[in-house]
Amino acid sequence: MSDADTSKHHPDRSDSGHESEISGREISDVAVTLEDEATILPVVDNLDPDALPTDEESRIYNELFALLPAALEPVAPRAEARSLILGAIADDTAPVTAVDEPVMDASTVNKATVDKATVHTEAPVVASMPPRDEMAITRAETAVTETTVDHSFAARQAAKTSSARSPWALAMAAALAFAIAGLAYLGGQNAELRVANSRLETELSLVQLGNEASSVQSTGLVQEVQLLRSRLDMIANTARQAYPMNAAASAGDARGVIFVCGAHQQWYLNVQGLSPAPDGYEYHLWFVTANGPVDGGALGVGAQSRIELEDMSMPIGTKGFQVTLEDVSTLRAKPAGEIVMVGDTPFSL
Amino acid sequence: MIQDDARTDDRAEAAEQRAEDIALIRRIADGDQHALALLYDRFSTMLLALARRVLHDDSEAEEILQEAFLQVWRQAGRYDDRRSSVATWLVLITRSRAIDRLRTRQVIGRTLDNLQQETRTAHTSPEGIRSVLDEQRRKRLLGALADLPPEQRQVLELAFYSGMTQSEIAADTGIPLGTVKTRTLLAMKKLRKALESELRELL
Repeated sequence: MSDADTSKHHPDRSDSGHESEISGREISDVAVTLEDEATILPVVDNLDPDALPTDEESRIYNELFALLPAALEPVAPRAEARSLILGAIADDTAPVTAVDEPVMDASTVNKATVDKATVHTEAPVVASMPPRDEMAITRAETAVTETTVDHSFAARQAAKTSSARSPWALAMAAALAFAIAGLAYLGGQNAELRVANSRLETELSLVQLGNEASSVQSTGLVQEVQLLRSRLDMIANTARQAYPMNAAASAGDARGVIFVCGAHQQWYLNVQGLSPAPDGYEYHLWFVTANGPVDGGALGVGAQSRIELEDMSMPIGTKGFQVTLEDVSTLRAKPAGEIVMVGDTPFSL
Repeated sequence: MIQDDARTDDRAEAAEQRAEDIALIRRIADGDQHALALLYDRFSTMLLALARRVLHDDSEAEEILQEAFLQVWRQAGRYDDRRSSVATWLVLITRSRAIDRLRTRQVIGRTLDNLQQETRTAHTSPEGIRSVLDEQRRKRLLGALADLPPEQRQVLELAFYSGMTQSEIAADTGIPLGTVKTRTLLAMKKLRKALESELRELL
């Protein structure tokens, strides 16, 4: 379409009362047509790398619009940033869409194999972590790595019923506990996480096969496995996000993280270092949505100042999280107390 | 005549660079880590500048850069050179992630923003890090943008760096929607005219 072609000018664009800046000079220099509007505005409004238009005109404007950052003064990242990204992919030799899960042949499984796998799990992938100083490069990653080294939950779960279970049950619980801790610890290291996940899936298969062989499964054990498996899935799910919970000054060195699996609106909160609430007060979790905060319930600070909470649902459109200290006697539907922790920046894992 | 020859050389160099970029993406799709390193070295300065421009925060911009390259590593197989140049694909991935972060931040507000403010020194434009070609393109683009009326440049920048739709720009600035659209259309058409040679290099 020639710029000189004025036969299809958009009515708005020829209405000088509507758009005062379109002088005669502007129109003679560059004419705007209905076709332009149909082509250009969708490009400008929908710059999606996963849904690029196929027609030639749209592509031209797409390329043109994406040229804008080339006008910015270039900024060199710190050298550590390069090391970090290359370190993250170092163990990842296959695209995500083609990850090969380890295949185990049940006929080859024996107790020695299971023992070896379980022992191996106790040091989950830490050996392949980059140096600590590299790990600390990003704020979000730091928060994730520092807040989720919590081996105790699954260990407690296992301890509750350990007397009634076989070594296989303990092995399975321990493997999963360490798996969760290991995976969470690697929150910011997605590529390594997937490697670890594959390994843990293998180990889980081994332990389960061992369990079947020894016929010691019980209902409680199955439920526990399901719980831990669910948590493992959420932490390891590629669609998940982690919201590091940043503490206010009044919360001291409290730290935490919420894992969210958006596809299922499932979440898992882990907070450590938060002082017990004073008498008459309690901590509350709030989901921050476009329509305002929604109460996520009271948080009881457990032993060792640890909070663990999870649920299978959260409000649609949740964009962040807050923990506040609320006066029980004046508790309202909206947060009124002091904000002690905020998780507002998701970190895709 | 000499100037024409220089532009012809530039175009040949640009075409060569474009082919190299596509080859790098294919190698990355095959799991070649060295190719990702090369791609990072070539584009990270522009992409970090983009993330900083969107987020106005050095540390968050670096996080976005890392996430973007991790996404490239994971999704290189999805790149289609018939739909965009490599540079455009990378820009759109980075912009998309940066704007997602920006929106999340805006929704909640930065009530505790000062808690973890980290001051990081960005290393701006060390000598030798830009290619001559990139620098020439930058100058031509700056010239073309400078030729736009400020109000037209403003709507383009709001759309690109803030991720606003035309309607959102109208609501945010109080300018009638029709006027916003007109400014955008005029700006884009003028840029197309002014940057014809750059576009030829990319297509």
